[in-house]
Amino acid sequence: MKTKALSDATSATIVFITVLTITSEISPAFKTFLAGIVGHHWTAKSLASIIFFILSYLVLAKLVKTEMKSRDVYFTVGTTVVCSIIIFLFFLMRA
Amino acid sequence: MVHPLIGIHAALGEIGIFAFLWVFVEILNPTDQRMKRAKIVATLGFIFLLLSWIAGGYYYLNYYGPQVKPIIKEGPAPWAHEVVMEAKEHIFLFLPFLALLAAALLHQNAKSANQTRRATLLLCAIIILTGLAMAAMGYLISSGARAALEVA
Repeated sequence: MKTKALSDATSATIVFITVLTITSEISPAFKTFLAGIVGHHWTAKSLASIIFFILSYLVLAKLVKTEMKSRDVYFTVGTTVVCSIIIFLFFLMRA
Repeated sequence: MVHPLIGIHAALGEIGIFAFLWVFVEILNPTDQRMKRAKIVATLGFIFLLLSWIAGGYYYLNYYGPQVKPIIKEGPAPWAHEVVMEAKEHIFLFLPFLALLAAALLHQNAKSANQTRRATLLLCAIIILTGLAMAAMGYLISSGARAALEVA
């Protein structure tokens, strides 16, 4: 397994989940569309995140030639913290 | 009565999180034997988090959504759903991907795994902290449901 591509795919997937979450809350039509695919918007987001992760890993594994560095993981951790705070604050402000 | 699936979801999640606490301790001061254990435990931790995702998702779709959510929203702490549950159900999705990355970092060859050891420690720490936050959020959601039932 190419860890550099895996780390970048993880960061990208976390951003993807965050964007998908906020977009589906802002746009009821998009949320309905997601729910229409598999019956519930959360299931659609879960499946979409898995598919996005696999595809982004496959693409990045082909494209990225540089070696894995610690800073790639630090970036993933930073992305996780920032996206978690964004999601929490988003729902806090909406309530 | 509390549905057993919520307990199964919480137990699987907590075992997954404690697996990464175990991994964190193993790689603080690694030896060949500790790294071997860390690889196995990280893989198990990833599997437990996947199972927690499935159990929690099934409970959320079939019981929480139709039965618990309306009670919480009518009760004295609607924020337990509107803020806590909404944030939890989405932030949780990060965990299996982070766990897979941590397991993959440990399964690299020994030289690469050693080079990224500090980063792997930090990754395990964020998995543990996010998991503990999930547990705390679960407690708040349960409290919101209990408060609503006490009023009713």
